[in-house]
Amino acid sequence: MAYNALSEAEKVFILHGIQDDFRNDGRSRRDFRPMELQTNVIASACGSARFCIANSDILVGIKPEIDAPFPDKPEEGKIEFHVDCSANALLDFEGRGGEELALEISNCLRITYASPFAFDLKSLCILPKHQCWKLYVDILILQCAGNLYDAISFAVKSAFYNLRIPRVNSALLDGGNVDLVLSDDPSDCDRLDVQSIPILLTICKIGEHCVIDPSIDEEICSSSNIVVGVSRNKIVSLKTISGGSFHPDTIENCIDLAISTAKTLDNTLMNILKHEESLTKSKKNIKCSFLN
Amino acid sequence: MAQELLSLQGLRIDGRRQNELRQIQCRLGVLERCDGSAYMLHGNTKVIASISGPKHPTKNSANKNRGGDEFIFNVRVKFATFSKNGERQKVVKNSKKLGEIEINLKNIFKSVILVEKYEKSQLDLNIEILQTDGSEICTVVNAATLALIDAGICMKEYICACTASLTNDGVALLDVSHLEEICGGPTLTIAALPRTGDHEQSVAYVELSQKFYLKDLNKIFDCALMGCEKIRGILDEAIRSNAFELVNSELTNN
Repeated sequence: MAYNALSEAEKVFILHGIQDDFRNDGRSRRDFRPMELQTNVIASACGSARFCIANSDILVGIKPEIDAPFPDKPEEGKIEFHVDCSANALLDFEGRGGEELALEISNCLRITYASPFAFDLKSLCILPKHQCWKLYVDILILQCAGNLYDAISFAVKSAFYNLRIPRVNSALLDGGNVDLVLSDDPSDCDRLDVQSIPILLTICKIGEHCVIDPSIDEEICSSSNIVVGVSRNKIVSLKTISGGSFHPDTIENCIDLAISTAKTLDNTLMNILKHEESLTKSKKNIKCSFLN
Repeated sequence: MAQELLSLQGLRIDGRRQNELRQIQCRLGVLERCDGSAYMLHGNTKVIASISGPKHPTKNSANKNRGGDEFIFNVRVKFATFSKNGERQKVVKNSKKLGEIEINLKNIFKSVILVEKYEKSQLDLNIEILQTDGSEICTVVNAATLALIDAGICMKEYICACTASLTNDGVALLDVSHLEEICGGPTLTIAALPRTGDHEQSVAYVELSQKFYLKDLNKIFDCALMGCEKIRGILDEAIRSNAFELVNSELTNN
């Protein structure tokens, strides 16, 4: 995680704040920081989104490519996640291996999306055994201010909502060669069902309490962190990050906290996405964020 | 040539006039955690530049410099994997193309930064290209200028870059888009220190590809230099309005 120097006194201050349910930015233990969302920011990607939680700034672009499915899963498409700590965010990760963190995050996303409850890979199939879509999900960390996992999962979900895959009009097998006919009209596209796409929630244990959406300073004070992948009231992944250990009962508490938070957050995110889409439809070229 | 670069009515493929720039928007101080940063949108090319430093040289770069007391200026350029139309870009480390851009940038900015003020210190320039649509280098240079100014690095002058091209009929085109780049025609990239007071305009970087008649050289050169002047105006306005906003917010806060 990003490096910030904290003195002993500062750590104690944060710890006491969390005990009293009053964090140093005025939030309670179950509050998120302000978030910002914008979809369709990159014209050269088929689906893109920018998501900020406070100063954690994430940009996601999805590009589909045609590929052959795995022999053991002939009817499923593929997804590949690639996390890139941008040169700007690298200032934060200086000498601390941004690559390791990137690998950790992309692995966490991979196991989360591997669950059949989370993502219907069959919808990416074009012609079983022969061709499928492979989605390259490229995540760019522009800035890091804590809670990267959550921000990235929201950004990815938003990008999936924005994703438009070219429509395949017909796929025929002609003597072992696949003959694909893509639609000529660029606006003729397929969209994915994003309802069940999971979101990740980091639960951070500081002192005796569990906290959501930790800032960088709080991440430094935490004794252990757990990332819970939630898709419609179901847990699809569970992963501890950055050392430390949990009491089994605490894990249960964490999961309960994650599920209840994820439920409201997921609903809000979907509503906002729909709202944002209607806004951009009615008014083209609105300038609301620095990326446009 | 597949497509005419300039129609009979004098309009280009994207509807611009021959000496018209694409839309430029820029913003300073977009990233909180660096010493200076800027975001630049030039047509559809999007670039974020950030500066960290001046700071004590890290061991790595000091070693590279063989323990000298000189100013160390590191440049890192990165294309986002989704930055180009068509296929996804592979992640390549130490690619030659990027290395070349980095060296060019280093040389361009070493000519304007007051190097003697920053002896024994290090300055890092990081550039992230989010989307490309031609004239990447000049967008990068302009964004980096803004970032340097946002970071408060002492410079002699603004440095502005612009591209120009030539049609078959010998008409100079200002600010080349990607479509015009691939349609052929020579492309000239210039980075220049604009005219200020009694100082004449001076050119810090030139790159020109393809052959063409020598008599057209002046035309295309003048066209690009005029573009640099225009861009200087835009950058200047952005910097002044940014400074104005900063002062205003400081005053209202106190």
